[in-house]
Amino acid sequence: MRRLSELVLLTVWLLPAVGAAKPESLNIKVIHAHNRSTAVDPRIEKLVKQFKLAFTAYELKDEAEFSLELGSIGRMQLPGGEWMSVIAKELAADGKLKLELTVDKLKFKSTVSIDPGATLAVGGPAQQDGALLLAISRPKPN
Amino acid sequence: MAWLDGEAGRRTAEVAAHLERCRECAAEVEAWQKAGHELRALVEAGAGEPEPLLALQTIRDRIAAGESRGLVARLAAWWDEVWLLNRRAVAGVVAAAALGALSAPGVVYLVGRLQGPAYTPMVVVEDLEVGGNATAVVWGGGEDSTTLIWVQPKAGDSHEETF
Repeated sequence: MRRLSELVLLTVWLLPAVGAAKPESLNIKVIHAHNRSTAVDPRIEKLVKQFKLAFTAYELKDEAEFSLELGSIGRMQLPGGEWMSVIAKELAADGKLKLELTVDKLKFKSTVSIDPGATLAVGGPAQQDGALLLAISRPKPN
Repeated sequence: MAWLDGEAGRRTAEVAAHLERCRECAAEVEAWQKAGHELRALVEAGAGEPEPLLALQTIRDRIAAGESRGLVARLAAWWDEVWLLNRRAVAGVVAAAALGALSAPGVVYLVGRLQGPAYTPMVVVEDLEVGGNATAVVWGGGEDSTTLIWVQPKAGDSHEETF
């Protein structure tokens, strides 16, 4: 198995939007869930407990921080060469950030509104006797 | 006198031998013995049989009665004792408790106003598309701030990632 840095290539293309407000921060984690052991990476232990999935082991494969202005696109390459895109669509008056998520090969596309402090996880792509989980978290502002 | 009371100790035999020889001392001892008998007779005739155990029994009865009292009575007795001995301290504690009870609703109200209602960050899934015959399930929310979208490709679809 190649090293993590060789496995996951991270690329972010930021397309600045006209008149965009303060950039919105997003944290994206790529997690491999499987049953080959019972090891859970302590960095994601609290997060994966909330998934309530039947896997016994969770490995943090990659992590990236995005700072997206409204209208910007963040792209992250997943293990196997697949791409995930995140577009910051708009910021609602109640503080929710509308995001458009796509995973190309999965033909997955979703529009979500996320509060500061909330996390959206997308799981399911088969991955070596397990599955990939993509956790998109919006940190609370300082 | 000590010999008469049986308290002559080691000199008891010596005194007895002397009394056998000395008529004067023997007469004096006899007089003392006679006076003692008469005095005892007078006391018994005037006061009757003394009952030293009677007072002791009364004390024991009171103790037994105290032990058999109920919890409430014992607590009341304890409170009386505390109140009598620590009146100022007890009054202070009672005043502090009353002040706390009266001010608690106001404190709860103010804290609630400052903190606002309990807040759980949420994710709202507005739109969801998955390709092919895959199915997607969304769950989460509640007290957790994490929402999960699980995409399950149709059996037979090959979509295996490799490291």
